Amino acid sequence: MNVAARMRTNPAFRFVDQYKKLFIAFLLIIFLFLLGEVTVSNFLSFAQLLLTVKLASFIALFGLCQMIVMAGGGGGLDMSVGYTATMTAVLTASMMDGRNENLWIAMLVALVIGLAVGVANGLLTAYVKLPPLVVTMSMSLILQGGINVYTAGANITGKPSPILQIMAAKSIGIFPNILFILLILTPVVMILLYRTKWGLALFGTGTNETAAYLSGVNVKRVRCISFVISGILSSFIGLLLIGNMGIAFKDMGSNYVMPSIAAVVVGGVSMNGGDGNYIGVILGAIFLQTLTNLLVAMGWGDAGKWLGFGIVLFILLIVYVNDIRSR
Amino acid sequence: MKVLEATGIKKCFGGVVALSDGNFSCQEGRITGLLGANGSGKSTISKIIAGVYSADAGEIRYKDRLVRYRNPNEARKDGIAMVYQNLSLVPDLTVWQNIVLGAEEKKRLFLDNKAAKNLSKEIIDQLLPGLDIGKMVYELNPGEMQIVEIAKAISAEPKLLILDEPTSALEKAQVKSLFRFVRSLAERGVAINFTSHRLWEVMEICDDIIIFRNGENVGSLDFERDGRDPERIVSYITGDVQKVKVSRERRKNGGKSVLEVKGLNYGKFLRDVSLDLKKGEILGIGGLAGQGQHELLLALAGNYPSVDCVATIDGEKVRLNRPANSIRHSVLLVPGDRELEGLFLKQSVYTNVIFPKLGLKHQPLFTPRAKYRKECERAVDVLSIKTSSLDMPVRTLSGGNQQKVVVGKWFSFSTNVLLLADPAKGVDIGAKRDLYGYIVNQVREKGISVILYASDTEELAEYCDRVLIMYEGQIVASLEGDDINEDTIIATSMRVR
Repeated sequence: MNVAARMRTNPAFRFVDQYKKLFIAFLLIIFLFLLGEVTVSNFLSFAQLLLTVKLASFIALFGLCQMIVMAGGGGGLDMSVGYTATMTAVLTASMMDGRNENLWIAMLVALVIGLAVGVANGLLTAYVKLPPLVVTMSMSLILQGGINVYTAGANITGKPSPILQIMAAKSIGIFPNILFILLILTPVVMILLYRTKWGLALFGTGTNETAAYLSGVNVKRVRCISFVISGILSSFIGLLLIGNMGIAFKDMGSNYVMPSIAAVVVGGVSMNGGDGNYIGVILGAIFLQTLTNLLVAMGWGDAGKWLGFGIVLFILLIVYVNDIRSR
Repeated sequence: MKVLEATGIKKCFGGVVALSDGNFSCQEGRITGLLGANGSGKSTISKIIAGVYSADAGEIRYKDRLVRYRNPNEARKDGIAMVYQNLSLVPDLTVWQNIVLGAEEKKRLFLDNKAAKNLSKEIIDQLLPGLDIGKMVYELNPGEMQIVEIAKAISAEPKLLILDEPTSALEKAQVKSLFRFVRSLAERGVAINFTSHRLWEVMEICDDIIIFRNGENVGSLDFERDGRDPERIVSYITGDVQKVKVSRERRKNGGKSVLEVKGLNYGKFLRDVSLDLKKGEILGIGGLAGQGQHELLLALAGNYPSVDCVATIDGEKVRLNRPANSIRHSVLLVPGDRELEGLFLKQSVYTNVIFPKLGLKHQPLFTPRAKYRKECERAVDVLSIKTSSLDMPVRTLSGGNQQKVVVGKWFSFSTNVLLLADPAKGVDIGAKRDLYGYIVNQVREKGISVILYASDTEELAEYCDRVLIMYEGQIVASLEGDDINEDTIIATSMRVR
């Protein structure tokens, strides 16, 4: 056995190798905080870190949708998450009208919207075999148009139910509540992907569609379900979004779409499918938020943020390109 | 005059020796044929000469000069052109654009389309008069595409033209006009290297032949001097006919029918294939490479939704249009291309082995991990898969162990029929023995039936009770009893007997 082979079988080395992208994302975050501390004072503090996590949480939530559809391979991507969330927020605002007893209606509406969008995306991509990018982009445009028509006639009235506001906007002590949602969501997602029949079938489909098909797995249904889950999730994220903002407005979710995809890439999840570690996606989201904070603190503002995102994405894609080639 | 001479060529792919001692030479104005069984190294040496692969050892002299090409373009510039088996044409360009692609006049910024069209027309008129050079390549039929491929090679005005299976896609008339043209090229002094599985064609067009077996050249014949004797060629290809060591008693025909298929058709790959597999039988599928054997096994496994065929499995009618149907009736496929069809390379051994269970009906939503891991451990144990843990990505395993994982996928399934597509391809001897030992054991103890396609005739001769020979998508012969030996299998594959 040569040295390289022996290293590959060494458990410690295997551990580092398996999670090396998590380490990279983690180190990048630390690097940014240190850079911020040096260039702008008072950047590195626990409070600042918690604030960053809170701001990053919605990128991480939408990133979950992206991760799930990407895991199934075939160029999986969901561009419609932003407007699905917006649609739910806009429609449920007046229904909830600031009262908790109306929350269940809002949840029902969220479920219906999410299911409709997800099933449509899933059928068109998995069964009609249209490219996910085009399908979900078109879906996004349709939803945007619908929202614009709905909001053109009348102002959006209504407020989220207090429960949603507590979940999304408030804190327990210094810990933002949405942090707990992420903490609960992470193991749930990991179990869904690594311990269920569907999750393993999704990874297999993403790794090698032909082999999965020949093994008797219904790859179309597996992929379709990933889009349905993404649709329902993004619709419920819409409820949290209105809870966080306190009001609904017509472009409230659209700014998260690109960062959510970026977070998945930064988190080291392969865009070719076949894997998905949600902790990586959360780290990716925190990294992007830290980068935004830093650029804002340095006076670069919104323009600098997008420039920074773009550059980081390019660099990471180049770094990870070997993994893509080696497939 | 000798144009090219290659001596002592060696080439390994991974651990597999494709060529151990390859020698080849060809002469101006002569057509030299290359013959050999599947995997004998004849294709490899052609590709080394054309610069597709580089040799591990040995030397090539071209026009009395030592050469070592790093890529096909260098060889092409030097006057060595190769026509590939798998087409290298761009479907969205026209015929003439494809012919001049890569060799366009580079003198000016813009291409000289007129000259390019004239050149293309001139060549095509000789090869296939009547073909419109303005047609898009995707509009052509496979035979016409092959002709364009040849035209492309010829447009570079080579001194040595390598034709690797140029006729496999052609119709009779097209073959005739191709041969006329190749002959006229030879008369103009071009040296030609011609590879084909079709023995009759080789005997018709070639002046002399070189025969490869197990990675070395074992003989050469000058047709003018030695005459054209097909039996003698076959004996070179198969080697000294060794008495086949039968490690298990061949079963006599009979028994209950397990899998019966009548009139199976799939595109041009399978034409009216019928077979009847008996219980406890190992049925071999032989023939030259690419005669539809892979497609047959894939079709039986239900891989082609468009296949409209109803098989009888244990007396039940089953439509072969979904893998799940075949699996439900315990007809299980071990596919031939393990990386493309069998494995999830970046997933763990565990995921790979338990994966087919995920497609079963009435499985719990959450995978019973403890139970699955135990089954997986058993599979690893029984098949002696060498891995440090069940969580190692399959990518890190050796080829032989990867192949065992593919077989292990069906370990916990009750098997009725096992479809094996070239299971020992690229697998070392130890793993090969393990694999066949396991399969023969399953047949003996559990009474499963096996359909085995092997590109290595030795495996067919050793393990099968009956061998069907395929040729161009059809079953052309059925060998039984003493007829199952390498010699007969190869001769029948080449349609000598």
